[in-house]
Amino acid sequence: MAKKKSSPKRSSKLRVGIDLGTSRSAISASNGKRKFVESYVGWPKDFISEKVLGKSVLFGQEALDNRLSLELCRPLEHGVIKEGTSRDEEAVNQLISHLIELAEIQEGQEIYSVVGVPAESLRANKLAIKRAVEDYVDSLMVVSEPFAAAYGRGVLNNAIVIDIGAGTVDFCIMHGSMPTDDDQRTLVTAGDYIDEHLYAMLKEKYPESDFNLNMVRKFKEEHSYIGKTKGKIEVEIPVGGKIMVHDITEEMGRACESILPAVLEHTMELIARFDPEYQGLVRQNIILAGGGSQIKGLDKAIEASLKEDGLCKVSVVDDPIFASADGALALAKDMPDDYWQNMLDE
Amino acid sequence: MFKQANKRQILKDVHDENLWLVGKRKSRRSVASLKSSKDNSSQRKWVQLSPIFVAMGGAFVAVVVTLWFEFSAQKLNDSMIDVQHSAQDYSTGAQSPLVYTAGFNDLNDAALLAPVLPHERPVIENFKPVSLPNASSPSLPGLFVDEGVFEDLEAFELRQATVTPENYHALAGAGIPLAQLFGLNVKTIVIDPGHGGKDPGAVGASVYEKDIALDVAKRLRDRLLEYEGYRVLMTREVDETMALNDRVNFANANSADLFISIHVNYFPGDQKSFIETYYFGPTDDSKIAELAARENNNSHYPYAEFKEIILKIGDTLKSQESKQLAYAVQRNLHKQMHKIDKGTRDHGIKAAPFVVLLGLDAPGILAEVSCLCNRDEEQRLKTSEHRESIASFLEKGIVTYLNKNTRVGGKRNGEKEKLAKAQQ
Ligand SMILES: Nc1ncnc2c1ncn2[C@@H]1O[C@H](COP(=O)(O)OP(=O)(O)O)[C@@H](O)[C@H]1O
Ligand SMILES: [Mg+2]
Ligand SMILES: [Zn+2]
Repeated sequence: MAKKKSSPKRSSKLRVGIDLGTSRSAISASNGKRKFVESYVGWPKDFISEKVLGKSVLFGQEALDNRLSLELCRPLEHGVIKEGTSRDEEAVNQLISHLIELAEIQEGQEIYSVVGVPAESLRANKLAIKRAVEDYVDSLMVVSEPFAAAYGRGVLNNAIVIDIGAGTVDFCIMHGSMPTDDDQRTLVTAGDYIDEHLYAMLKEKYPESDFNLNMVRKFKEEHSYIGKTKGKIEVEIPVGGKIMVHDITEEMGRACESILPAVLEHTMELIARFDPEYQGLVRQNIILAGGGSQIKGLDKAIEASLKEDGLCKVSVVDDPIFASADGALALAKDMPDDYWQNMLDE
Repeated sequence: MFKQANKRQILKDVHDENLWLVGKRKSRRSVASLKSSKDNSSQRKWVQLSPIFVAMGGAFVAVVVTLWFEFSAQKLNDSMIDVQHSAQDYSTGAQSPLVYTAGFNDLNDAALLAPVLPHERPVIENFKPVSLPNASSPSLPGLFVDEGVFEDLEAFELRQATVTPENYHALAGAGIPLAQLFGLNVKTIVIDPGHGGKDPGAVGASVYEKDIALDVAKRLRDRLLEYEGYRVLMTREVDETMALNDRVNFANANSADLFISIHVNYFPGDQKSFIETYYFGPTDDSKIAELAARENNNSHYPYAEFKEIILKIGDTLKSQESKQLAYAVQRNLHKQMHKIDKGTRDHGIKAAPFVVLLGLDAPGILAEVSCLCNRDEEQRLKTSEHRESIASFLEKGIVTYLNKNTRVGGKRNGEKEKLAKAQQ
């Protein structure tokens, strides 16, 4: 494990940005390494499973694949660490250790880290995050995910970032200073909600077909759209053991659309918080991040709905998996050295 | 409106915001090692810390900590942004605690105290908002440390808010009103008139649920305001659309002690009236699930997601409290409504997954105070007398509950004197 020991010589400093997400967590380090893992942690249920699996802890897809022999934990399920349940805290702890390992950080390197977490978690879980991370790093700062994404993109002024994740949609307005609680909003109708919604609609339409939530999520990730789509969306689902083609075009559109009203409502409210003089600028600067930003046509749909009040421009981050981790790394790199020193207790 | 700042300032702000992470490097330990150290707890000297008091006024948070152990004031000071005055010795019996009063710019920073406590576990972590009476400073909200976070610290005895005449002086030094110190809290009651604006709620032959709910809510507010020690707020005071989670956020932001959501029931057909009161919890009843779906209409929460949350909530203290509150309200309400209409049925208190009750920090209920499915009742609801009566029935239920849970306060002005006279 990458747990830090009190190493004799601190040769070099390494800056890392970590995005602790509901569904995926990512690390981006100044040594050039960028890695991510699905935010699942699993421990073998018993001694036999441990023998079979040959590991005492599994992560991400591997954990999902072996879920039956594991006690599986998705620690940030609803955007916050459920504190008090030491399982969740332990899982975050393990996840961090795993990410640090993935980034191939060398023994003895001094690690300065900026960790991006869902906005809600920043409010509620500061100390739990600290406990989970402090074993592996030398210095730590915690920021909200959308803020990290905004910083990474260099949009510090007159902008709105909408981070559409699995458990939450996090909004953050940028007005030239570090966003406060007031500048952020969280909705829990996000990617998982679309999945549930789609699942329910498909169950109704195809009661005999055999599919689960995971399959539905995969359908979504491949075919998601809002507005118009070219041609039919057809997927293969077994029915009584036979694979059959199912048309899910309409349901897909409806499910994806279902998150839109709340997103629009909050976006408009947040635009209105800016000085009228700048609102026009803000409208040109709406940025979608997170996995949910990949829904085809989402940007255009938002533009269309907001254009009643004037022109607007919605853009999507290039790399939603790493946007926040890269942003956190940018923060870590830009942070003056003495700011880190301040955090050491010598 | 917003200042335009530069990157440097942002970095500084991020840094400052993270000051609470100060100084843990030496004491780095894993969860596992913490567990093991608990096992041989004989070697560990747990501290006793009592009482802790945190009060907040405006942008300033005062934290008063009585530490029953020797501790370097210097270290404590270093961790704080703005120490108002440092260690002050005073005597209570055999022990000699040190009292620290520290100032913080916002609540989260109060968590700075955590690393300075010798067991290396954060102690002040969750704050449970309570309200302070408006003695000198109008509605200064206060905060107690939530007992929950101490659970896993063995031999850690926290006497929460046990303030004695002896230590009162030390605490009063922080400018905290006397009444608060002795537990005479003002209760903040948030009344939530159901629906509103674009969402009419249940629609009767000639009235809307949203209008009845608002009117009864206002009357209830006016009645509760006549009591000493209740702060009464409404989620909406006009006919406006309001999302359910905004109602919840409003209650939480105002540190509500109680949340009362007022609704009027409806079932198709001309039926006997019935009264029912809900608290948050799981249900197997499909009818209730249907009603919940209707009342949850304007929420931003996915139902499926919350089924899971509901199960997790389980039998928490909050849900027990809510259940008691529901019971007190339902009992009073039905008893009185039954007097008006002998046909009124008592559907009792029920657990249901209403969104509006889910995110609350405080105990909360959703009362279906009447029924639009009964023609006579609908006619009665059009009269202000009847709506006033309903408000008074709700009032009784709420006050009954509050008086059961607080020894002092909750006496109606005038009644107090009567009571005093009667006792002479
Ligand atoms: N192409 C896609 N279309 C729609 N949703 C997607 C797509 N790719 C990923 N997602 C969804 O995005 C969510 C994950 O986003 P992510 O930003 O990684 O979440 P988090 O920050 O909450 O961990 C999941 O709900 C996933 O299904
Ligand atoms: Mg994310
Ligand atoms: Zn209603």
